[in-house]
Formats: sequence, C-alpha cells, structure tokens
Amino acid sequence: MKSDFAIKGSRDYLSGSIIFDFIIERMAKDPRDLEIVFYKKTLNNCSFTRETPAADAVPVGKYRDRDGTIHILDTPEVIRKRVDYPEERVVQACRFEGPMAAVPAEVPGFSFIEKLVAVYKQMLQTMHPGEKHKFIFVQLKLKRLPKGAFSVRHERRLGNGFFQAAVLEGAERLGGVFFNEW
Amino acid sequence: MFSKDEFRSAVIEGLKRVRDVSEIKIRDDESFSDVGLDSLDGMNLVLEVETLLGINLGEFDLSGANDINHFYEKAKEVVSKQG
Repeated sequence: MKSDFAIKGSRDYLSGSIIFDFIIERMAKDPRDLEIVFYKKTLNNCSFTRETPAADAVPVGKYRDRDGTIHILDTPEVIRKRVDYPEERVVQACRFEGPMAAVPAEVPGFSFIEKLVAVYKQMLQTMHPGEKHKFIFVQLKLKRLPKGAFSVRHERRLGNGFFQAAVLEGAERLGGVFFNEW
Repeated sequence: MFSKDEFRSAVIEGLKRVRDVSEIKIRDDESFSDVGLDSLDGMNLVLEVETLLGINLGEFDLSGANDINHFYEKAKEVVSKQG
C-alpha cells in the first residue's frame, strides 16, 4: 500500500503522526500492544507492507501490534502537497499543570496522535525555553489507544536527547511516547 | 540488588528484543554499537532492562556505558542510590 501524503505547515519532514494515522485508519483498526518507531526523516511518500522488505529497501519506520508488523518504507516520490496545520489549537484546548497536561476527547480536526504530539512538544518547549531545539516524535508504545480524554505526564530525559512521557487514561498508564531533540 | 549474571542475562534478552533477533553474542567488554545498536536502540535497551529486572534507572544515559561491564556498574550505582 502506498501513501499520498501532505507535509504539515512549514515542516521540513513528513510528520510521524501522519504515518501513524494512515496505519490506524487503513491497516490496524483498534490495535492492542501497539508500537511505532521512526528511524529517519523523509519528505517522500511511503509504502507500507506486512512482508519482509527487500534488502535494499530504506526503512522509515516500523509499526507492530498483536496482529503483526508493518514495515514503513521510503519511496522516491517526493511529497508535493502541503496543508495548513494550526497545531496551536490543540495546545489552546489542553490544560497544562507542571509535568502534566490534560487533553480533551475532542479537539475538532485533530486525531489522538496529533493531540499527543502537539501537547508533549509544547511541554518540552516550555521546559527548555530559549533553546533552539526541535523536538521530534520518534516512538510510541501503548497497550491500546485511549477511548476519549487522556493525559500526558513528562517522565524523564534519557540519553542522547531522548525524552519520555506517559500516556494515561484516568489513573491507567496506557504506555509511553518518546521524542528526540534535533 | 541484581547480580552481574542476572544483569548480563537481562541485557542479552533486551538486545534480542531490540534487534528483533533470536540470538545475539556479545562479550562483556564489547561495545553495543559493535552489535549494531544506534542511539534509539540504546534507549530501548535501557527500557527493556528496566522491565526485565523490575528496576527504574531514571534519567539514564547509556552513551557513557556502552558495554555490559560499564552498563552494569552504572546501573548498580543508580539503583543503590535509590536505597
């Protein structure tokens, strides 16, 4: 399966949230024990396969859940489309308190992963004021997707510029999201 | 507190999970990068070892502990400080 993606706003890379939504909407509905990881930035469309990729394939990322693995591969086709992406609307709709953020069930026009990425990015930027780092979503590990409202709790900085936050639904920890600073 | 043998077993199991392979051979003094770990894999190795040993290594940076010997010493130090 091949994508027809658009780059969000003025970004110089294809957002991981676009790839995640593509998989959840078309290939892995209601997943359990899901994990997605991104290996490289791309500005190209991607192909998605459950087959073992060819030796010369260029992996962009990998998705896994109880039903198996989906390989996300780079293609030579450069993405030409761009879309407006008013991420600040997510931030405005959430409540931030120290290392926690409460995310409402509905922010019109934004998916679960878009809300999660926008919120944790905002938290990291607030924690590092004045620094010119970009914080990029690189990995997500969840038991399942939240059914509605959820919260995000910054947990720690790991080595090599990685940051970890917990994704919670009520008191239940659904898993973690990981960002890297570039 | 975990023993060196328990820690080594956890690291090797963690490496297998991170690299998605059924077997991995690594000496205690062999660099993780020599068996193909990049920085993201390194972060995931820390997470796997935490899960396997039931410990929390906090804000752990594997870059200064790039083999089993150093990883063990650093992890032991972190856990003993936690009491």
